[in-house]
Amino acid sequence: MSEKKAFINAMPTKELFINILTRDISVENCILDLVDNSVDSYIRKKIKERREIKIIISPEKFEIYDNCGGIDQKFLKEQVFRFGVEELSRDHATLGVYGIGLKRSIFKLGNLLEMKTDDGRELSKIKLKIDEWKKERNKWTFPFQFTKSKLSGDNKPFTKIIINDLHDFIKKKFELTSFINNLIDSISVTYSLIIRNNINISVNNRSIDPYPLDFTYDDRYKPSRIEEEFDDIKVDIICGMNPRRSRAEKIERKGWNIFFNDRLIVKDDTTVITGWRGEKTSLPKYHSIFNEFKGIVFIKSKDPSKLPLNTSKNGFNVDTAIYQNILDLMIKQAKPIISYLMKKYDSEKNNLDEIEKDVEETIEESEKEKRRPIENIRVGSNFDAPQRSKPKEPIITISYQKQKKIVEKLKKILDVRTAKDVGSITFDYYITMEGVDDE
Amino acid sequence: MSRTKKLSFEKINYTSRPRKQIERKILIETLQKMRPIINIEKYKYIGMGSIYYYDFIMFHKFLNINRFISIDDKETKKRFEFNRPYQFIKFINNKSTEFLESYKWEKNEKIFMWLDYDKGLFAENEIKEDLLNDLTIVSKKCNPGDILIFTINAICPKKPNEKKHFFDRFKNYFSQDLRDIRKVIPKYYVQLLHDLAINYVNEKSEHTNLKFYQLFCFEYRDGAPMFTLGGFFDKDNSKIEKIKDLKFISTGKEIIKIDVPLLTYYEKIYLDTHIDKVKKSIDICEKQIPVDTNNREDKIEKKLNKKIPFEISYRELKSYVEIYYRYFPQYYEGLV
Repeated sequence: MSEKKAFINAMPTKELFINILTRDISVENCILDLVDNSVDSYIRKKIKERREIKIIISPEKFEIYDNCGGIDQKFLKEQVFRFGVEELSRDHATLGVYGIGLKRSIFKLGNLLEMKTDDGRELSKIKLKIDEWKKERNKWTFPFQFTKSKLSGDNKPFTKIIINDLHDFIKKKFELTSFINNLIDSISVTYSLIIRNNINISVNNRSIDPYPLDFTYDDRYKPSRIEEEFDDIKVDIICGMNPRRSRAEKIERKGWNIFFNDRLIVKDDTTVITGWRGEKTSLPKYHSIFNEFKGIVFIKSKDPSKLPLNTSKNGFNVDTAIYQNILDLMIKQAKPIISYLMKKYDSEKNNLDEIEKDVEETIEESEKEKRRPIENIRVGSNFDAPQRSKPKEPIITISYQKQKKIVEKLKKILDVRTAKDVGSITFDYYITMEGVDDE
Repeated sequence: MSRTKKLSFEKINYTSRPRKQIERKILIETLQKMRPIINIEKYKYIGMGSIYYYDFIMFHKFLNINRFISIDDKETKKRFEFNRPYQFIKFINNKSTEFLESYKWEKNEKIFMWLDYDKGLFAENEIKEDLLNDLTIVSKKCNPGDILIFTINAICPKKPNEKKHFFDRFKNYFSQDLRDIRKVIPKYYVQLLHDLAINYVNEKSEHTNLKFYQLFCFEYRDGAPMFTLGGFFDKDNSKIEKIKDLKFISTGKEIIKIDVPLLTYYEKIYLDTHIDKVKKSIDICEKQIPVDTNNREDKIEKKLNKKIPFEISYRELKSYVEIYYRYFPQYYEGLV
């Protein structure tokens, strides 16, 4: 019998890209992926001045606009809409690596894509009905139009992506106030550095403030900071503690926060991933007594393919040699703080006879600490924190008279016994509510 | 059996809550007017009837509902059973959350549910998670056409740390104009609860194909401030569109305030019998005081009180004669 030769079909299907890959990513991460694209354009075009990204979300349509450089017509034609990149290596400190994010995000959100981009040389326009394109199973191209740039005067090169005919579940999500507010919080944290230094970001015309990255840093508390380079990767680790004013206070950030090329990837991590393994060579297993610990890691590389990121950018590949090196360094930096917190906890427990209220008071002694942005923390500094007694801030006594009836009423409301407490709490209340800066 | 803690129905004499009764009557009248889109007598009513079962009696008499379940977890099971006004009311002695979890929503059974809590969302620096759980369960299980109403007390957290706790937990449900810890004060608290409730229910029903369409939104005070939100689960707004202009329906941010005066028997009779005259007096007094006058309402009230044989607030009088007199309950002592 003669041997026959044939070919096995290994063509990808559109179904994979439109309905399957989109399952692995949340709607919020899709939008962050689109923001990444804009940020990457800013980095690739080496823009130095402040630019903006505007996002409009409604049940009718999704829109993202940036003036971060626009897309080159050739690049749009050959690269932007291909699934995956030909080669991983890049030479800018960007966030996108794999060539998946943009397409996946569009498919996840809706059915009709309208895109317009002008890079100063050409204006390109795309209009694509995804469900119709999907039906043409073997056609992997679609048309686009381009003309000479229409930018004039001060207009900056831009890209605008509009997604219409949103999927039903997306429409529902976009109606939720909580979705929009959560997205704003995520953008504020994720792009904290980028918003602070490079790009304004707004959602539904609300401009987003960068989440403050700061540490308690004064005469008594000093965070540590170290910089190292592995291969082409720069690592910058800051750790310290933010003492709480009282036990009841909610911790804003805790554990480790890791930025890759200025984008936050790992948030408030207290798991084995960031070393809380409970072994001798690692950090102890996480416990609430470590809530005051805070560590920030910046990992930067001009070759983002070297960063151990996954495609959703919500986590990373921990089994790489590079991450193990970084992790060792993180553990080394965190240890002095962890042992300080353990000692502090022990002494509070022994000396104060486990009276919760007294514990609160000792923590309150550190009331007047100053918070400083991370830029002010010198590389090479070591952690320091006060042992028991601390020098106190100058204090002044206020005395005033108020109607007894009201004061008695306030005592009840505030659940305190003395008029002094009423005075003190109502005073603090004014400071908190009016946002009075205590510096 | 000895009990040291008073149960809520022992603390509150339900008959002295006229505004709650007005709320019930308004609900009934509006549900009757909604006949073009819902067939209310086919619904099963699930409520918290306490030992008085007022809502049950009224919904049977005026809406012709025949299937009822009342839930209460208090230990006086026999008392709840004994006081059922109709044998066909099924009493379930269980926590609402446990009941809702175990209750099987049938596809062809329409539910009208009123989760009428006497507690608030927040008390003693604690978020009442069971109340949120109830909303979550209902939001996930409801079928198209099901009606959900819930009532909670609206006592704003007072202590700074309580305000912070409340705000931190829920801030992402508040719309932009309210997303500020300084708004956690009694003046805005009902608005905060409204934002929270409507967004919470819609968030929890996100993965169903239904949306919660708001119909009712009331604020009133019978002693404690109370807040009621009600609505309708459906696939689209086609049904809601047909009734959204009915009186007392609020599909948006409007919170209808049931602010009626507390009247004595004689006062009520006077106002009712002279209703046209009173309306006219209000009209005349309003015209006499220009719109941009300082303290206009006080001045109108002064003038009005010369025409009416007893002192009464202008605002409450106006809402009474214009809207609420038809719903105002009058209670008498009866010897049985």
